[in-house]
Amino acid sequence: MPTRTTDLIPINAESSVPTPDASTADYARSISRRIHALTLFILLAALIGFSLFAMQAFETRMAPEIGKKSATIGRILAAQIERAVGYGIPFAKLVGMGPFLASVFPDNPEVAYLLVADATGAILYAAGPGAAEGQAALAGSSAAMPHPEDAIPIRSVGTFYDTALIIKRGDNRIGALHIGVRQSFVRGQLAEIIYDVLTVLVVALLVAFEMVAVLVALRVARPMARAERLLERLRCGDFRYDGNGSKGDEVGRFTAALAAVTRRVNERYWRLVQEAEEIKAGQIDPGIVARIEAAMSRLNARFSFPAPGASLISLREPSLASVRGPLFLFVLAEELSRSFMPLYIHQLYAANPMVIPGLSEDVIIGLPIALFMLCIAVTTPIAGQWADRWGTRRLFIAALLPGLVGAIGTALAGSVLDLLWFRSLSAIGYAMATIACQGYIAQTAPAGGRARAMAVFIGSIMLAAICGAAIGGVLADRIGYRATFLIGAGMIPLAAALLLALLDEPERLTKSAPNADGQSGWRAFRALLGNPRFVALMLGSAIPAKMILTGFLFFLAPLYLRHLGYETATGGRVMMSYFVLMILLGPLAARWADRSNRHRSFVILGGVLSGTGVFSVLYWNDLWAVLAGVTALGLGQALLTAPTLALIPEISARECQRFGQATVLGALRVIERIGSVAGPLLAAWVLGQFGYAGSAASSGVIVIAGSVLLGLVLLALGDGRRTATARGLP
Amino acid sequence: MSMALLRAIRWSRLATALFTLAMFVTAATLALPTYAEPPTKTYRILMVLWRGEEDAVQGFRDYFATQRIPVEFILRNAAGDLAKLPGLAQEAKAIRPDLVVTWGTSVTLALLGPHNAADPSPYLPAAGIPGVFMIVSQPVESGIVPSLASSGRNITGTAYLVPEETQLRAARSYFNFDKIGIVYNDREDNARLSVEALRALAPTLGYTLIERPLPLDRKGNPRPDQIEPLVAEIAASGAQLLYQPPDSFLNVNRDRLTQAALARGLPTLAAGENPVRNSYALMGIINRYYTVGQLTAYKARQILVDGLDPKEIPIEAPKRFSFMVNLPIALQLGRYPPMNLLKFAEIIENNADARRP
Repeated sequence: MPTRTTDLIPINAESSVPTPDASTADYARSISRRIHALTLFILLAALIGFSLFAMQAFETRMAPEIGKKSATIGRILAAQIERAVGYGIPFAKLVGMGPFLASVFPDNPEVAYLLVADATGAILYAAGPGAAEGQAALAGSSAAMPHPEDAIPIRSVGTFYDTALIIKRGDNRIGALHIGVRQSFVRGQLAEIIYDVLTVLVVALLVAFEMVAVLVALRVARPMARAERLLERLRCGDFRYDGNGSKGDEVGRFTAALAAVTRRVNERYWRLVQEAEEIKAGQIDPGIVARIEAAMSRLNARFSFPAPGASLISLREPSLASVRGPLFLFVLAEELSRSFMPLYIHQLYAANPMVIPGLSEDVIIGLPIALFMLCIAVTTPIAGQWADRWGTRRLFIAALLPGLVGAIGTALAGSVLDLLWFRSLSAIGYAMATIACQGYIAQTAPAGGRARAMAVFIGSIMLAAICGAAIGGVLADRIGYRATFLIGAGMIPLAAALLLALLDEPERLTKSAPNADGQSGWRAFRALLGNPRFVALMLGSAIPAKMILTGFLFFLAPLYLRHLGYETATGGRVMMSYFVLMILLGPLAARWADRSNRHRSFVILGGVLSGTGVFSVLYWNDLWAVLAGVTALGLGQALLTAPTLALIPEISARECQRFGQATVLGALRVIERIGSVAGPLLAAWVLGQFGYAGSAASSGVIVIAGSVLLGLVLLALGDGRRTATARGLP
Repeated sequence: MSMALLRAIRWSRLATALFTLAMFVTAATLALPTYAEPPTKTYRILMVLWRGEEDAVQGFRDYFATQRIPVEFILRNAAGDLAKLPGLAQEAKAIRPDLVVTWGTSVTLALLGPHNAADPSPYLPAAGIPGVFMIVSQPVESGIVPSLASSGRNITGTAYLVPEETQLRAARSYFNFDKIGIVYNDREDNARLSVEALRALAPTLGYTLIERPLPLDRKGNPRPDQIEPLVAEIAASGAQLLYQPPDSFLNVNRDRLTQAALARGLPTLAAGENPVRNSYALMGIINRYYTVGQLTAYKARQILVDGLDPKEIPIEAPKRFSFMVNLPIALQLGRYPPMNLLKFAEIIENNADARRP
């Protein structure tokens, strides 16, 4: 029946309106932007409101708590004074009150003064760092003698909270003991909590953004891309595909409706074929048979239909976003422990000292961190081969096993030796998971968008690092190291579940770059080691940069901050500032360096800058010195990371041409990890010899010296780019 | 193949479990009886005393009572009479106790003998009766044992004096001093040894020592009437502290000595408990007799119940001393104890004897 054949044509004609490729992406982006803004607003409003409420509640409760603790301290002192007076020692002639009162301060740092007044309010004995100030404040107020009816007589006197207790002889009130706590101390406690709340707020926002990005990509962008691809197939007259539309959303229902239409079209087509056969069988005129056959073959040439009885092929749409969630969680699980790993190792060491002849305690504490880096360095190239063999999805699932065992084992470890084993497993899992994600991104990213896709990958890791360092510190302070590790362990199966639910295995690439096999890798290595500029870049910049990162930031800073008496949460926030600077300034610096085309200057300047901050530790024994060191490190590394990558093709043009840029960059990654491994060990060794300041300064000296050396070598050798071009190119 | 391997693993695990269980059962059967069955034997302990029952004896007896170790105490008292001692030694041999406890240097030397005696046969250790001594001021110097680490024979014991250095360092937490006076009976070993120790410590602790040995009468005995003039001399020379050594003569004349010092505003640091508790000394850094008695009882238990060889048990003093302060004297002298000392000092408040005019 010709009518039916012609029925099909208008569908085709209608659908032939061209659709611009970018529209889905733009739509997704605008939705995502609006959702971001809305999420930001709602979360900020909720959290600010909550924080204000919590702080107010906290402040009204804090003063009585301080009063209670002061009263407890005071009662013990007052009882002893009363006992002495009861023996018949005159109240004004008590001996050794100075050392007696002073014994309180070491265990109660919040107490600023202890004053003993007689019944007239005259101060007889005074002790404490705030004694003179407190005495003056008390003299100014009429608070020298407390009223006996006050349950906990705490009052605000000058800049102190003053708790006063009556001292009696028999039934006579002979004087009062005043315990003063600086109000700034209470505010300091408050600030500590405010910082924690802010940290949680920032991390919650970042996680929310990440989740919004993933959700928008998966719930909006991916179904729409599928629908678009389905329409595109239909426009081309291909009726063999199903868009996998879910019933849950509009786009899904639309896709499902399209699939229903497709099925109906297919049914009709087969009925048509059947009818055509029947008509053909009933005809004796060969002309008509020929015409029917011609019409059917024209139909078949123009449209594609599935084989009879075959079901529709599901359309796959691998999406970059689907890997972000699992990757974020997996990396977050690892980064949770970043801010306190050396402290945990130290605790294990103290509980169960491991003696290795020739290694000091500090070096043993550095050992698990160095081993972790080493295992990542060794596993990464092997994991790359596994990814090629098994596929990225299976590699990620396989990473679950060492990752999970490693995390649980770390949480339950009894000694440093246990930790060495379990941290190695964690490192292997971490390397496998990151390589799997990297491979997935490389396979799914559109040809032109590879760099941007990689930026998504790096961004996800950085974001996890920020969240991990910050929230890990807070968690460790509140629930302890081991419980924090267990939370990290819980995230790993979550990451795997998310991955199973979301990730479509992309069609396997035919074969990775021909230069990827081991033989050429070794040859590339040898060739690169013969290139003085490359060697100078490695020794002068790449290795020292990793050394200061793992030695100072990952190993020394947490230990030093703990040594100064700061909480783990503070250490986490200090560490977070490094990642924040990297994520904010890294892209800026990259663009700037590209525009000015002065990659060398950026690498050298970044190196020098990243080493300068740590010297402040020599002058101030304070949090700010560490923060200065970390900030300078962040700035410097943000400046040099991208330009280093850009510099590689410049200074090793011949090698890049012979072995491919990817191989050369791979060599860079392997070589710079020498620094990652050596960093904690060297920092630990110097720490044992020269203390914290010496260790911090030594990492700075190495980075600055390396950068200066690199500058001199590059100056002496001239511009590698031009000579290479002049000599090497035909 | 793999099934066999699997089975082997299971068997080895089962074997390990059974072995562990067996070890537990064995350990339990070994451990239980010692808790379940108290020692049933009643030990016979002979205590030979110098001046009757006092705190050290009480501490000794209380230890065995609280430990629920059945003992039968046989008490003999020399009542300060040296002449009674040989008879008591003979009686002890006849009684044949499981252990003999001697009180004081004289009783100990008479019953247990010096370690280097030419003829050890008159003494109890030679008769196979183990001995434990207590309240012996100088076990080594008086020749009872060659060293505090081991007696070298089947006796052991306890020391009770706090070393002079510990006493003086502790006394300085009360008040500082750089001139110490001492009145002593040159005829007594304990007193002489104590003076020698103070002399030796003077440079390290930074004080000068004013020594005043008591002059003797025609019979060779020290003259009690000379105590007051000597104390007056010491007070006049500017000493801030009078030290009363572990000296029997001065212990008897403690009121005379400490009152003389008190009258001149001179605080007394006594080596013994009595002058502080029952007289007019300001302070004493001492081991309480009760504590010494308990420590001695612990050593007796090691010999009787635990079956240790006495020569393996070192001679020790209690680990923690008591800082005694005579409060009425402190108030009278206007020397108020510092607050930190009050936290741990033993304050003697109502001293009936000291109130005696």
